[in-house]
Amino acid sequence: MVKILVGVKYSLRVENLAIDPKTKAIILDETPKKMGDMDKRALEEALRLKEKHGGEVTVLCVGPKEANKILLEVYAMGADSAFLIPTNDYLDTFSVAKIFAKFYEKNGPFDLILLGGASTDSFTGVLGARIAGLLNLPIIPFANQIVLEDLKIKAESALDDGKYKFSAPLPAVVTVTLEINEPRIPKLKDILRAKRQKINELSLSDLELDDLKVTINMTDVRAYEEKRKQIILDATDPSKIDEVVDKLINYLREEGVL
Amino acid sequence: MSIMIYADKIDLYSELINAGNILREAFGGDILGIVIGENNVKSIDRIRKIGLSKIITFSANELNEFNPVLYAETIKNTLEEFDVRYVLMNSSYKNKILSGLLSSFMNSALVVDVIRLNVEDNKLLAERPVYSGKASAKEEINADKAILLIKSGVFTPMTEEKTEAEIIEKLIDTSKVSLELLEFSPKVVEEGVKLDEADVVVGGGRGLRKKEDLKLLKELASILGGAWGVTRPLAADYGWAPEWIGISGASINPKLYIATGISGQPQHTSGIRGSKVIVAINMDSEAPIFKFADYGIVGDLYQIIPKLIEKLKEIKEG
Ligand SMILES: Cc1cc2nc3c(=O)[nH]c(=O)nc-3n(C[C@H](O)[C@H](O)[C@H](O)COP(=O)(O)OP(=O)(O)OC[C@H]3O[C@@H](n4cnc5c(N)ncnc54)[C@H](O)[C@@H]3O)c2cc1C
Ligand SMILES: Nc1ncnc2c1ncn2[C@@H]1O[C@H](COP(=O)(O)O)[C@@H](O)[C@H]1O
Repeated sequence: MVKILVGVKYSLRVENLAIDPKTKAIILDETPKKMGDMDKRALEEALRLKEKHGGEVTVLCVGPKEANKILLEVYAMGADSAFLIPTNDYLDTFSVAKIFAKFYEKNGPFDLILLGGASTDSFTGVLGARIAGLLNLPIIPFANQIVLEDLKIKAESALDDGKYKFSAPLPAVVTVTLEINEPRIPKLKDILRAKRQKINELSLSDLELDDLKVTINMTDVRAYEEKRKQIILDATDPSKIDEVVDKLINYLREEGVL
Repeated sequence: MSIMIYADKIDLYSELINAGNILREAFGGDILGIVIGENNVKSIDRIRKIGLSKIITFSANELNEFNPVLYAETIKNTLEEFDVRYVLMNSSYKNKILSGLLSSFMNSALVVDVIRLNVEDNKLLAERPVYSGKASAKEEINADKAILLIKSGVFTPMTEEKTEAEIIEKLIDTSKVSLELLEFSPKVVEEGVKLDEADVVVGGGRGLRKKEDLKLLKELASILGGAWGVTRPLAADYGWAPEWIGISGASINPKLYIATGISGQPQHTSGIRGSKVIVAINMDSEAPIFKFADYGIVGDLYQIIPKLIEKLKEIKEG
């Protein structure tokens, strides 16, 4: 039996950012959102561990009210309970980590906290470690593969310079990569069933975190203006290829990169 | 009060010291270095005269390979002993985990992937790319302590010779650490140059139809004295290469990047921003990669790369 806490974030679809053409500011309200890609794999992995060892999967999301959309999806995939902590203001990862730590203490014990290696939009990749630091738990980051045996979790991490196999006693925090699994697609009956399941809401006061103070203020978020030269040469007509390649070589020489 | 520098590659200390100098000019204090692992400690002569006042070394056997929990414990005690307020590290996956743990121990702010750093009215401001590198965010730090992970290549390395750092050797009790490293298998570079160190990178995407066609990339890269790389689907889904370029893979900073058969999704382009000149070859004139390119060729890579190889060979031999 394993009790698993999974974190999923209501994330921006970065391919479809709505950008104010004048100021280049990102219009968050108009940008479509979804469950984070790695977060979904964390949930899938939790469900597979539960199917194998028995247990319970609890999902926590800190985000705006509309995030309950992805919590329906979480239920459709098979989670046992889903919690939303509604927040409107920008919260830094430290604040989110404190919320997770408090939730863990109040609603636990859990054997495992599973998160995405990095969120789809901010991609900081630190929440798992911050939670582990607050709760004094071991962490296995960016896992490609997880095995649970004899009250120990073993996982393979893909890090900068190679692959690391780690082993940690439970409870532990594990974050996963995109490569770990292929998430299930819920069937229609699961989607219908999910609509009847209750999304639990908790406030910051419920978690005794009224005085949560952010350590970072995001002051200005602006889309990059692509400053590349964008000189485009057409070689769709095969007779042009020779000429176009010569031109390219000349440009690269002028740039001093050949 | 002091500022601590830690890098997971010995060559990156000299970049971080220039970031440290910005903090020292604004807030005062000494800049210390911390070096972990036998191999790194053996190379400390390379960073002895770059402006660090002290270098604290840990060379226990157990520290030769990365273990986030063990490394965090190692650094934590030092931070307390030297009254460290700011920690600077290079931005890497390993350091994200390490700094995540440390920032919770220290109760500090943490900003990763920093590409600009300045102090205004005593407030520390860090800029970093967000949303898969499509936007940049300014983050104002509202805490007494902070850890900043600096992207490599942002600060120029310190080259001036400064007074020699004092070396302090330390030991650590590694017996209490819960996380155990069972095995480490380092990345192997098949042949030629490492992606993140190459001056020229030739990238290939799903425009390549089969694994054997990678030889087009390899041949072009070898003529240019560079490395070849791929997009995520080729590496992670098809298994054609051990790693890929982009937000969840390697970041590159070459003088020249040639993207072939790559559509230019933000997760890929966020890893190529550091390239000086970008060339894109794609059949589809609407492909987003052309917005990231200095020079774009609309056409079939199977016709263009061979021609490019042929002409570059002629130049080389002629
Ligand atoms: C969380 C997350 C992280 C990710 N991280 C990364 C990452 O780090 N790196 C990464 O690369 N991707 C990453 N991805 C995947 C990314 O979103 C894209 O799916 C991927 O980059 C697309 O790869 P591609 O350009 O090779 O393929 P496609 O998008 O399929 O593009 C292929 C291109 O080839 C062109 N083409 C086809 N035939 C030819 C021909 N004969 N000649 C010339 N052109 C041709 C087509 O016009 C097309 O534009 C990530 C995704 C997620 C969700
Ligand atoms: N607001 C949030 N609510 C729930 N889970 C989150 C939240 N933010 C991040 N996470 C989880 O933490 C992982 C890493 O996020 P990050 O450190 O922000 O890149 C994500 O993949 C999610 O699983």
